[in-house]
Amino acid sequence: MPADRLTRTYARALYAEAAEDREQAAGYCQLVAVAGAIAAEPRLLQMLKHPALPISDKVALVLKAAPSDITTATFAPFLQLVLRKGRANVLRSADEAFIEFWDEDRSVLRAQATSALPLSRDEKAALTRALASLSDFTVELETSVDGALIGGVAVRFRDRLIDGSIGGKLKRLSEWLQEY
Amino acid sequence: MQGRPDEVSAILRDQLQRLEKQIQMVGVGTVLEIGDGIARLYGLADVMSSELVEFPGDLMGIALNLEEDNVGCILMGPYEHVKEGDEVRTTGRIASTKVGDELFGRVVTPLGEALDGKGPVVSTGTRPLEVKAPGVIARQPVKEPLHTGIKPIDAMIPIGRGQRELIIGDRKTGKTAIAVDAIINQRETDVKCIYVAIGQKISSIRRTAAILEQHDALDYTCIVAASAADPAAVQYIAPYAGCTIGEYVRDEGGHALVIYDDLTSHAKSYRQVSLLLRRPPGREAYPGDIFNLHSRLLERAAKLSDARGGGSLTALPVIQTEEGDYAAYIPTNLISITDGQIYLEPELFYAGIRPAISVGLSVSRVGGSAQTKMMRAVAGRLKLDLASYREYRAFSQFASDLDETTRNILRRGDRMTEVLKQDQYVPMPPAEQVIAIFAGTHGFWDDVKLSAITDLEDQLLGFVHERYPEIENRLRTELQLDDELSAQLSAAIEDFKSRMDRQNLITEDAASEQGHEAPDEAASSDESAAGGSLTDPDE
Repeated sequence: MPADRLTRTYARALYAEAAEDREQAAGYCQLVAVAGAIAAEPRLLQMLKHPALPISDKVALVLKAAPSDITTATFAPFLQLVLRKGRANVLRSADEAFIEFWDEDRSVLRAQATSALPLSRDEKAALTRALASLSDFTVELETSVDGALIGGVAVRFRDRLIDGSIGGKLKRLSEWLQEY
Repeated sequence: MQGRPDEVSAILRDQLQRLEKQIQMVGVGTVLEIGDGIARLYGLADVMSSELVEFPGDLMGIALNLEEDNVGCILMGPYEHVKEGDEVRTTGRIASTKVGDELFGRVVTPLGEALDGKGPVVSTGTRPLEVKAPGVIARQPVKEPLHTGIKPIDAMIPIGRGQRELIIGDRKTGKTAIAVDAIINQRETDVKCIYVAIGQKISSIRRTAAILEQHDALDYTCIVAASAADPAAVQYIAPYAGCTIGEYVRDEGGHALVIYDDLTSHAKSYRQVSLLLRRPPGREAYPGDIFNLHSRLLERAAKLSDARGGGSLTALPVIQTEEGDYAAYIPTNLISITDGQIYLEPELFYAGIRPAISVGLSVSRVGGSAQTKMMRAVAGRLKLDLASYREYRAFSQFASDLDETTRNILRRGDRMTEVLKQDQYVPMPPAEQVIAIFAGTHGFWDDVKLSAITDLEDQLLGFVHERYPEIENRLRTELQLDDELSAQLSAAIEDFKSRMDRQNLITEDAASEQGHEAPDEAASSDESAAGGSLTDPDE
């Protein structure tokens, strides 16, 4: 789910703390993802929101689920703040917003390529290179398969979709014929 | 699709070849929330205002609110299948509707899809719903009359081609009837008509279409229907669609008449959309741009300059008042935007004076320049005389003894009121209107019983048509009434009166009593004559 304005505000604040150190940022990214996974579970989210439970217990619960080797110096106060303000919902999509800020900082572009058949390693590399030359970003490409595309490939990154699939072309042809 | 098979094949081949190389780049977004005909979308950073966006299942929406982190969008159809997280794509197209001659004779949705079961509308083109109104240089003053065929309107509140004239009144006072009559009257003219039904019952729209069809008026009329069952977003764009269809006619050098029935419902649908889009509410919870909503629509009605083809788009917006409160928010907005208003009074309507036009409150700011010379000649003082008659009539109720002058004013006014009554769906040609009004204003009916005037008027018109065709022909061709023609017309009417049944004349005693005739009594005595013309106003 896309992050709303409030979530982005919290995520930006956390990222500002984490950005000082690259390794720390990677660790925080994992922590936010863990918190997000917990908040995504309705019963656990209910627990995080429960007024009778002490906030320290709730924070401990989230940190216990996190990998033990990550430094959590700023993350614990962040969690405390979020829970004290009754904003547990923010945790559900904070990881997405955090990653977005982190990617922007590192000049990383995450792209999702969908094709009718699985892409070979060479095809992936060629596609990554093409996208990198288009955007001047380091491309991190994820792939998936969707038979409905019939052929070709459709690449989505940020709020753009480059549709070179046969399915898309046929759809456009059908629209053109209807208008004509 | 038109053209020879080989041409069509070539076009298709060309399109297929281009398709081979085409890679489409579109903006994509995600549905954050959806409901009440509104969607909030995440992403779509490059979406344009009023751009069409495509939802799953071929559902289209129009992007209206472009905010920092989301896009507010109105939905143009059923959206039950769309859920949170679904992908939405931009189309690169601004919201537009079909235009062209093919739309006339059809009942369509605001996007130009057929609703009448006569097959799909194959139009020659599309145009954006929202365009800027023609500027000062592109226009010329309103000077050609647009006859409605309704005597009191053509005589006292003349409408010109390119004018915006508001039809305002309570419910069931005959607003739609005036609009439909105006359309029917264009049968013999080159004016194309667009009737935009906003928020009406589907049965009412069906009935209007049937009436137009029955009077051979549907062939040159396009009905744009956004019924009460349609989403508020569809009702909101309906008048813009009707205006766009009319603009096509105007820009091609033709003449179009567009009727927005009614803009009260339109304002309400826009209020609903705006509140759901979380725009700040203002007076009566309408958004701040409610004035601009209507002014930018009505400004598109124009008479273009000769250099631009000389076409015209005339607008007759309809507004419904509550309990005659024409000083409410939306009515005052519309009154200030338009070039005049036709105000319909329930009291007149129920007194049997139909069309129930209030002479005092109705006005056309274009005035005599949108009138033929002959009509100006016979009806120049009619409005003032009738207004003063209404005042005398009101005061005469308290007086027991009236002087001769007052009695004459009342007698003439009663008769003019009778002359200006008209049945529904029977528009009258300008030449006949001039004869009818001439007879009234020149006192030929002063000694005739009130209840007989309607019938005698019909007989007079038939008489002149049969015995004095040259008068009617000259009026029709020359469009002016000089002294010579006035004398001929007077002689013709005298001739008619000398032959008519003497029972229709009032006696000396009755004549003196006429001055005391209270309006209600006059109205009730008229009922027998006007009884046949009592028709449901809004049907």
